[in-house]
Amino acid sequence: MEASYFDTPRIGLAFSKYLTQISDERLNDFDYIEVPYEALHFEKDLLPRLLVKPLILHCASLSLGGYTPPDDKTLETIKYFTEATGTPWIGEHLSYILADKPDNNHYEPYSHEPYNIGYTVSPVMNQHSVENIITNIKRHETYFGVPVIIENPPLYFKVPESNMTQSEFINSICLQSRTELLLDLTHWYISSRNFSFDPFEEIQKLPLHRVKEIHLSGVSQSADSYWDNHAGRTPEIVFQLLELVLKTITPKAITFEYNWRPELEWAPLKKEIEMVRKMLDAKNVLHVS
Amino acid sequence: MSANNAHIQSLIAGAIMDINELPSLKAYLNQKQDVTSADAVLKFSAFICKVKHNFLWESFPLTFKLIHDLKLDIEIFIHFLPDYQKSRKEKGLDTPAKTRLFLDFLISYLANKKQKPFRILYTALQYEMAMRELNDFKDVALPSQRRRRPVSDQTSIRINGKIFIAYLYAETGDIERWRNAPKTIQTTRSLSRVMYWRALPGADIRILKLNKESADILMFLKSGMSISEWIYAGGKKRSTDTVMEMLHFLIENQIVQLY
Repeated sequence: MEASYFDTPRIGLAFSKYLTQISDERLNDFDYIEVPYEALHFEKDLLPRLLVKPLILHCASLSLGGYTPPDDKTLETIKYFTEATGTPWIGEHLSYILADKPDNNHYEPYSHEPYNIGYTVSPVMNQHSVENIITNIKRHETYFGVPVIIENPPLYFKVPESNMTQSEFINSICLQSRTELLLDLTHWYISSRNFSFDPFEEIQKLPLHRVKEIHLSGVSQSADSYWDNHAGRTPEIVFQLLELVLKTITPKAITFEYNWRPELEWAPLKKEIEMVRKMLDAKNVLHVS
Repeated sequence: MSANNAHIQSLIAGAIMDINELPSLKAYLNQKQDVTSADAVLKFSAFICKVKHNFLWESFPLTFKLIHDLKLDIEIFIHFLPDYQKSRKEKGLDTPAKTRLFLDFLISYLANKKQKPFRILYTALQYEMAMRELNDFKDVALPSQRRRRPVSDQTSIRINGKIFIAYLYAETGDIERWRNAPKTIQTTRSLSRVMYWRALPGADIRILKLNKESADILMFLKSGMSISEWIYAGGKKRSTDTVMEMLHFLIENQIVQLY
């Protein structure tokens, strides 16, 4: 797939099982599929079934915010799928998933193996972390041959030693490198609720001109916190954030992440896609095929 | 600073993956007088655990949806963390094994909780367990009935087809509708015993309300025990008349048969 396909903004869906079974008619409702490397890795026959649409590779294994690198085999496999999918970029979380175990760990018999959390976690947000992330991104971009764009994680707790807000942290990375962004507006909204800031005001402090892709998904509330929820629909307030962002920039891709349930009600999704198309259309930038 | 970042991230990773490591994180936070909440890390760990159980949307959609709708997800998965984290160390659990692990926990967690949200969940879970067991009924053979038969029994009794005895805090006809209207769910204060019964693979599922004794005897038969064992287990409480009355009811309704 040529990168030029995304020269005009596209609307896509995050991979979920239902996408391998949908009708041709529904395939026409969206432009691309965003697929996690991890799904391609664990389901060997998945890739050929997804090639009916252009693909963007998403990833949660690079541990960009960590100090423990992924193993060579993981990197080789990601590189293989980078080429096999023809992805124009790799979207990866501004997080870590791997961490070395402390020496004083008395509970694990195999302390030479790093922790693999199995889920991305926001890193310490300070200057040292900025430098570490930039180094990691550059190394991976050289190896994979495509840009690695970073996705803002939802914040659920303050990480010790952090002395930057998330917008300062992201700004620092962008100021000190050419890194581009995957702006997850739902994550942004969740962080704003958990850390009591105004999402509309604060988002304008982000380097929005670096945003290449946007994510949209649901939110849930439980145990006095707000949580990411790919099983629920995007709330109105997140669409309002999208509208605000689109006043400033035109992303190359907008992805709906509804991938935690095995089935999906198509009619409401189609309405949401149409609504976003109208927002883009109002900017007069939508691709007409 | 870099070593410090790595150390902190390691402490957090440890606390997320093993609740036994939370004290190390708490000790660090106390030492540094840091305002980070270890409880928030625990909740995040429960959230991750929940996301790792998204396969339940497929097998137990009503129960999993209600866990969300009733905002009990983080609380429930915090309590499930010890079992879950222990199971992670025994690598290679497949999805059915993970499902069983969670269901065993959930049944026991909900069993003694009387507040309405828990009664709703308990009922939904029992209902879906019944549906799942009966929908999986493809073979007429009943291995559990063949397990052992006491020599003293001259006549044996077996269940016709497959049954599931559910304990519900709601009318059976209401439960399926909960999917669409979680805010209007009505429950009962007391448990009712309901038998979901499929006599043959593919046959309609019949639903019968049972009294305690009938439910008990059917549970005994289902687990491969005999009538005499059931009478023996009940001590002097079970008179022959009661037993005969119940057997008559079960045979007349073709729920069990003599052979």
